[in-house]
Amino acid sequence: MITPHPLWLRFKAGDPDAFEQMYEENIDALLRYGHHFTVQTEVIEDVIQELFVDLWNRKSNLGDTDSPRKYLCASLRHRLYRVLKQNSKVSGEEQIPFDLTWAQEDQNLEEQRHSQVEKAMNQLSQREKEAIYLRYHQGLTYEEIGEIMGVQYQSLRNQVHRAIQKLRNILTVIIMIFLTSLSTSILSGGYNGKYIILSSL
Amino acid sequence: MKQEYITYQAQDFLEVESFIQAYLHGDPGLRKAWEDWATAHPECQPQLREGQKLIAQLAVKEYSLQPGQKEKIWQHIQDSITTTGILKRPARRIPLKWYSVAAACLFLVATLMVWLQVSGQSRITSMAGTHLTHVLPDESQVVLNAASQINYRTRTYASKRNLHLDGEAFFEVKKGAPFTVQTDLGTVRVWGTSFNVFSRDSIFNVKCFTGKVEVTIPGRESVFLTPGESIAYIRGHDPLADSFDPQRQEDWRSGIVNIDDLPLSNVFAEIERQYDVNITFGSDTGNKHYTGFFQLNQLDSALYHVCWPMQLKYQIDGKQITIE
Repeated sequence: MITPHPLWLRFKAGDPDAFEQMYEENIDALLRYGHHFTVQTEVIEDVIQELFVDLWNRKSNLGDTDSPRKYLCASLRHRLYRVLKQNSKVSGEEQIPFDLTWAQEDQNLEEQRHSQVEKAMNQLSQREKEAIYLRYHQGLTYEEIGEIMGVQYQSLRNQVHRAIQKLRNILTVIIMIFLTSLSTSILSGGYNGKYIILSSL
Repeated sequence: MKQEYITYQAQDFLEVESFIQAYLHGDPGLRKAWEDWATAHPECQPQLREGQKLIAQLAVKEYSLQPGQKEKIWQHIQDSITTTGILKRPARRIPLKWYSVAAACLFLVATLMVWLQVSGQSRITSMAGTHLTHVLPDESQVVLNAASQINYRTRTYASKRNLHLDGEAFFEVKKGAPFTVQTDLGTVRVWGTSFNVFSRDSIFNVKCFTGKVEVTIPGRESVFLTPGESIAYIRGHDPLADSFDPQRQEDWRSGIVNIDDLPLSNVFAEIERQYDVNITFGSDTGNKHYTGFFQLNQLDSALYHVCWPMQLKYQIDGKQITIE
């Protein structure tokens, strides 16, 4: 049994303020989420517009949800898929790309390590990337993501865990290579620490 | 901080919401809390630091919205809805049958105005466990924290812009004539700005977020605050000036309560207001000082964040909480 979200109930009862509030609270997240599927801003804007118009027109026939954000994300995803499928050769849901550009915040990562990490991240499947994005950047729970992506909670959780484990292994290997080369450099004698670190990679 | 964190492997930290907020989204308050925890648990640092490195890898570049984009899409939605005649918002042409509804609305508004004229006083109260946003007649905005109240004279508000506050509120004031917030402990006067006022029992605190704020405490000279400056006053003591980061949203509005060296009795009073509960504790306990934070999501987690570091036990029985 779900407890319907109070804002959702007000909206369904026809309260225009609740409808506007729901828009205000979710529009940023929806636009950002959409941009990972396509770079065509107009397509995303059209789909979002259609989505909200349909919501209002069909409000009396809608089911209940405990999270408007989850409902809206799922709905946007579904609609974008439909549009993108028409415009490209993609057949199955699985093939729709989810583009994540990793923003390395860690400036201590030297260039080579950086590209290795990037490579590791790009080994993740499209759906793994999407799950990680929804978990870490939209702040949704695994249950909610499972409903949005139409996968079982447990398999989704395992998927994200595996992806992060993969990343962890790669990071450990990189750090080990880094340490080994560091000690070789020290043994072979000579340079000051900073220089060794730069040259060893 | 939960006890079980000390057994966590690097990857386990990536499941903790406050950890994600601290190290992926750079929340300064939560970051400090985690750093304090790391200092207190040096043996856990290797796992924590590795978790930190891992989560840093998950940062992504996000699309940045264009100015006016949201408003444009909303306008399109409104247009599509009003042309299909479904949204009951002011449309350009009102069909005949709507005249009756419009008349009814007018009558309601008129009745309301008469009632307000007669009563002359507006009182807005937020109950314990709720936050409330109220738009004043001049379109200035007040966000009331839990268990707070404002009063103003409806008739004179437009010319005087004067109200009384009991509790805590965040104000966003439209530019114009002087705007005054009176409390039992002091008065705040501004011209068009945003600021937070806390006035409960004997504690008075004002933070200036934008513009300029004038604070007057009876029997003392007025003080002017600029953005990032705050003043705290406890009845019977000298007021203290302090600074904060005005770029950040006021803590309670973003769902976090930060506490800097306050007696537990004040901390429990805040929890009582936020969750609409009743807490009993010994006087020894109430005098102990607490520094830390809790998030305004689950009562259980708030109590945990406060009680665990103080080595206290709590029991929840409906709305009654006992601290041992």
